[in-house]
Amino acid sequence: MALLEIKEVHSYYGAIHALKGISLAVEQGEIVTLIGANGAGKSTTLKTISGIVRPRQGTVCLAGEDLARYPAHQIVSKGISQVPEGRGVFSRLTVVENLEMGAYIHNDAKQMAEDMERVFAIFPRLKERAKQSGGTLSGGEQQMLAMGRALMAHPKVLLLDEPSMGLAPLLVESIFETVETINKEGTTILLVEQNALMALQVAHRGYVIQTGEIVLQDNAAALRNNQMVQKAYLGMD
Amino acid sequence: MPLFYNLLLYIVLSLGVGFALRSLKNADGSPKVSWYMAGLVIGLLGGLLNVLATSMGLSFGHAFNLHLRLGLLLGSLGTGLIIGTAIGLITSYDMFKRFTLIDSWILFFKIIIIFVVIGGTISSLSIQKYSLQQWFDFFVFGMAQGGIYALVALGYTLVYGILFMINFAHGEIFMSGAFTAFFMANALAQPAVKGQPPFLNTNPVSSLILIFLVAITTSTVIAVLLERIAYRPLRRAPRLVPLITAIGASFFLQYTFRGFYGSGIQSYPQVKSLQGALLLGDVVLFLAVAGVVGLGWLLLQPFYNSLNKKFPRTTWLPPSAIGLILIIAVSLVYNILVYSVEISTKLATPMLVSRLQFVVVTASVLMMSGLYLTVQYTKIGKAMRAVSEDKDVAALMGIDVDQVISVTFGMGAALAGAAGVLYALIFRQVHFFMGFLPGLKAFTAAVLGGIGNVPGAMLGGFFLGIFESMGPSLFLEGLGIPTAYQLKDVIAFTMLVLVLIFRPTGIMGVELSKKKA
Ligand SMILES: Nc1ncnc2c1ncn2[C@@H]1O[C@H](COP(=O)(O)OP(=O)(O)OP(=O)(O)O)[C@@H](O)[C@H]1O
Ligand SMILES: [Mg+2]
Repeated sequence: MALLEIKEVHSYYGAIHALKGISLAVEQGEIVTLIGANGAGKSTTLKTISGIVRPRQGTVCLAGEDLARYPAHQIVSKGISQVPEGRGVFSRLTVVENLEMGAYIHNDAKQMAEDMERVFAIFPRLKERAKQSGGTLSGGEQQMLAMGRALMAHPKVLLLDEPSMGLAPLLVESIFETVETINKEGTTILLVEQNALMALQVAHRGYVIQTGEIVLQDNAAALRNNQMVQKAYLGMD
Repeated sequence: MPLFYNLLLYIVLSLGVGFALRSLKNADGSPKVSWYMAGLVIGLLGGLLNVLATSMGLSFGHAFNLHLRLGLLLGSLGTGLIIGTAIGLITSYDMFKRFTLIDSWILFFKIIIIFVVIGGTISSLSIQKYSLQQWFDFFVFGMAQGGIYALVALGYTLVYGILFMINFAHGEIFMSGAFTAFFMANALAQPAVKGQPPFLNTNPVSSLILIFLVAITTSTVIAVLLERIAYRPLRRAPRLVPLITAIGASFFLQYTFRGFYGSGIQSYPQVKSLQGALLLGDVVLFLAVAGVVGLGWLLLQPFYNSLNKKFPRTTWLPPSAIGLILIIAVSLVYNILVYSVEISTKLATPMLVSRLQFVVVTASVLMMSGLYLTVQYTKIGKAMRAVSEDKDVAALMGIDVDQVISVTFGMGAALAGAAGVLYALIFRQVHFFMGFLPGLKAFTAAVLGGIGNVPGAMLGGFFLGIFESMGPSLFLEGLGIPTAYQLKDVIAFTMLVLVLIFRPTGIMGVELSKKKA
C-alpha cells in the first residue's frame, strides 16, 4: 500500500472543474514529481491533498486512512505538510516565529528547540536572519524558511509547490540538493515543478498533468527520454 | 466677527505672499526665496497686520490681555508672528512643492486648523480662565477617557486585523457587559443587614473583581456567539455583507438588552474607596517606581541572559541578582523623589489627581499591556498574527483558523466588557444605548492609530481622549466660541475626518498591502 494515494479525485472552484479524476500514488521514501503547464491543476492537486480544497469526488488516503473527514488543520497532524506556491511566509512574523508556527501542532518546547537547530543546520542562512521579519528576506531565503517551517511539523509526506520559482539557477541547484537531503533523512516528497529538467533529475518517478488529467506516468529516467515530455516540458525538439 | 477677519487675514496673507514669492525665480527656474523664508515673511507681516487690526478693533480682543494699550499691541504682534509663521511655513512649503486644485482645498483646511489650534491655544491661555489644577484635571480626565477608548478600540483593531471587517456591534458588546454587571454592582451596594454598610464598601476589591468578571464574561460570550452565528457563515461573502450584518447585529443587541433590562437609565453605585483625590506627588512616586521596575527589567535582560550562560547550574543567582539591583534602584529613586516632592509641596499648593480616574488609567494600561504581550509572545497570539496574514497558510500550519478567530473576538470583547465597567464607574450611569457613542469614538481612535495596528489603537485612544477633554477649552474657548465643551464630539469626529483626509492609514498605520485593500 502506498503511503499517499489519491484516487479518481475531482475538485472544483465554483463551477470550474479543475481536477478531472486524478489518481496518483507516492510510496514511502520516494520523491515523486508532478509536472505540467500553467493552469494544469498542479497546485490544486496539492491543495486537495492538504485539505484547503475539498474534493467533490474521489479519495485522498494517507497510509490507508481517508483524509476526507478531517479539516485542513487536522490533516497537518496526520503527517502532511505543504510548502505553498509563492512560499506563503508570514511576512510580519520573524523567522523564528515562522518556524514556531510550523511546529504549531507540537507542544514540546524542548523538541521544538532541537528541530529548530536541525532546520538551522540545513539552512544556516536562516540562523543569521533569526530575528528578522519574514517579509524582509530575499526570495531564496523565503523559500528556505518555507521549507524549514514545513519540516518543523515532522511530516511523513512533504508537498512542495514550485520551490524553484523565481530563484537564480545557482540557488535552484542548492534547493534541489536540499530536497534530496531531506528525502534521504526519511521524508517522502511530492514535488510540483515547472522546471521539469531539474525535477526529473531528483525524482524517482513522475506524473504529467494536463488540464486536470494525468496523461503520463513513469519513472523519472523514462520520462526524461519521452518525446512528448521533451517537446512540451524540456524545451527540446 | 473679529475671529473671521483674523482668519481671512491669514488666508489672504499666506496665499498672496506665498504665490508672490514663488513666482520670484532664478535664471535656472528655481525659486529665489526658500519656503521657510517665505514662512518667516508671512509671519512678520501677520504680526504687523494683526497689530493694525487690533487697533481697529478687529483682532482677538484679548490676546495677551495685559490691560495696557501697548501690551495689547505687543500681544497682537506676538500672536500674529506665531500664527503667521506656522501657517506661512506650512502653506509655502506645500505651495513650493506642488499645487493643484485639490491641494489648494487641503491647504485651505490646513490654514483653518492651524489658526484654530495655535491661535485658539494662545488666546485661551491668555484669558486665564482655568487654573493649572483645572488644566491638569482636564488632562487626567482625558487620560482616563482615552484609556477606555483605547480598550474598546483594541477590539475593533483586532477583529479588523484578522477578518478585515469593522465589527460595528462592538459598542453593544461594551454595553452588554457594563449593563449586566450593573445588577451585580447594585446587589453588592445594598446592605445585607439593615444598618450595616454594604459589601461593596466593606470589600471593595473583591466586589470590583466580581463586577468585572460578570461584565467580561457577558461581553465575551455575546461576542463569541455573535461571531459564530452572524459572521462566520458570511466569511466568504463580499465585504459589504458582514458590514451590514454588523449594523443589524448592533440594533439587535441594543433592543434585546432594552427588552431584558428596560429602557431607563440606571445609575451605577459609587465605590467609596475610589472617591476622593490623590496627591500628584504620590502618583509621580508610584509611576516612577513602576517605571524603574519595568524599565529596569527590560534593560537588565541581556545581563540576566549572560548570568544564565555563565552560571548554568545556579538557577537562583540570576533572578536574585536582578532583584537586588532593582530594589536598590527603586529605593534610590524613591528617596530622591520623596525628598524633592516634599520640598515642592511645601513651596506650592499641591496638585491633586482624582483617585478614580487614576485607577481607571492604571487598569486600562495594565489590561492593554496584557493584551499586547499576549499577541506578541504567546502561542495563540502568534497564531492570531499568522491568521491575520494568510488564513490558508495558517491552516497548513495546523492552526484551527475558526478557533483563532473566536479567541480574537473573545479577547476584544473581554477588553470591551472591562472598559464598560470603567466607563460606568466614571460616568455612573448605564442604559441600552450607552454603547453607541463610545463605540463610535473608539472606532475613531482605532482609525486614528491605524486600524489593524495594536499599539496604534492604544495610542489613538489616549490621543483622542486627551484631545476631546482638553480641546474645547484649549482651542475653542479662547476663540470666543460659547459653550465650547459641548463641541467635544465635534472635535473628536473632526479629527476622524482630518485623519482620513491627511493620513488615511492612521498615525501608526503602514500602507495596506494590495491583498488587504
Ligand atoms: N481560487 C481559484 N478560483 C477559481 N479558479 C481557480 C482558482 N485557483 C485555480 N483556479 C483554476 O484552476 C485551474 C488549475 O489551477 P492550478 O493553480 O492548480 O494550476 P497550476 O498547475 O498550479 O498552474 P501554475 O503552474 O501556473 O501554478 C486553473 O485553470 C485556474 O485558473
Ligand atoms: Mg501552481
